[in-house]
Amino acid sequence: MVAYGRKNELAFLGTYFMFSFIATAHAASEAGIHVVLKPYIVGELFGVPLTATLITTWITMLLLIVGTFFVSRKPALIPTKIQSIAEMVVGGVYEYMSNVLESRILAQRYFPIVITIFIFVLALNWIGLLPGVTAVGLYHDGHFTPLLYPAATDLNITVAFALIAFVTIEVAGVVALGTFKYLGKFINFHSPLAFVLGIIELISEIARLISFSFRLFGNMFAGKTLLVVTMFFIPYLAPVPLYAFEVFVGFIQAFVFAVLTLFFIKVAVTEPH
Amino acid sequence: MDEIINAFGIDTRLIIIQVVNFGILMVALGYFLYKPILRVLKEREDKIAQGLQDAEAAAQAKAEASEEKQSILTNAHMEAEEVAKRAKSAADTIAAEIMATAQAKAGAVLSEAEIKSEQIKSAALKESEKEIATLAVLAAEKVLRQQA
Repeated sequence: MVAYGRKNELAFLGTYFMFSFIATAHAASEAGIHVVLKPYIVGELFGVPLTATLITTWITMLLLIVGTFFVSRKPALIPTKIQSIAEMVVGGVYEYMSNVLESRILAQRYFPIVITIFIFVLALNWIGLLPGVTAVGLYHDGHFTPLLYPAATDLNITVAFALIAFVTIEVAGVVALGTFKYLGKFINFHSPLAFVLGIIELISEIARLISFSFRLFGNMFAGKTLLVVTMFFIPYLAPVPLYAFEVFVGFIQAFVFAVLTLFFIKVAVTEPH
Repeated sequence: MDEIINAFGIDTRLIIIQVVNFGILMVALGYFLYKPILRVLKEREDKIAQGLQDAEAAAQAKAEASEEKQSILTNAHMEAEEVAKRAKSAADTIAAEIMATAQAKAGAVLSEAEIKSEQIKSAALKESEKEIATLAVLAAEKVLRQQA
């Protein structure tokens, strides 16, 4: 009787473990690692899909606007610590742009766009890393949809940034050189070689739209996916260095986006030779 | 192409919204961050330049003042020396004068005294001559009386 009972017990335990394993595996496929390229659609606003990344973007903007409203709207001649940081960023970018563009006027003209790209992308990346950003959400028929999600993992948002950078660069070229001279950089008939080089330039110019948007998207999406996967399998300690690395990547991507925009502006405003 | 757009969930309206978002943020940060910060940086730069200029002016004024002080001191020294020299020479002259008068006076006193002493001497001599004569007469009278 006893032996039978024990055997029964073992069998029960065995089935329990087996079922619990299956249950975990099931959970993993259902609610665990969930990676999609599309942004999460939370709802609809005036017929436009409302995505989690868009909500995150709006919250980021709100934080930036409210933050700067209180920190730097009325700066003092003797700065506070936070104002010093703001001065370092704003003044540093302005000086750097003046040096790269070799002109105060050009620096002044394109400064707001370049620094806004930097600050906006940096804020989006870093706020996307805050704990809880992917955790807050809604359940729809058993499916979890986060309300907040790292914004740069949405190609819509990075394409928008890429378009802004692209248009800025082309407009800078046209304003500095005139339409015909600027077009002459790409389509000219000085020599067959110049013609081919011009066409290659034109292709690489347009390819920037893709490289700009996919560089940021790819980096941030990969980082987010890596974190999600790591946190699923080893939730303690292992994600810490990755988190640190993602903070760094978030900064680097913002920096690269802004600096490339600046350099391409410089290339665009330079006289063709 | 449609597949790619579908896979990434591309929606033109979302892109436009994001571009508008960027524009709004750029304008807002322009008002609250870039303009005020750049203005205060410029103000500070001006103030420091002004301060440096003031410091330079002050240093120059100080140098001028010290130069003036030096020249005033030199002048005063020279003047003092001259005054001292003049005073000394005046004193010398007066001393010489006083000495001369004193010497002259002393000489006069001396010669007067000599004359006086001569007079006294001669007077005494005369007196004593007279007395001796009287004494001689008296003595002669005495002798005569005894003989008589």
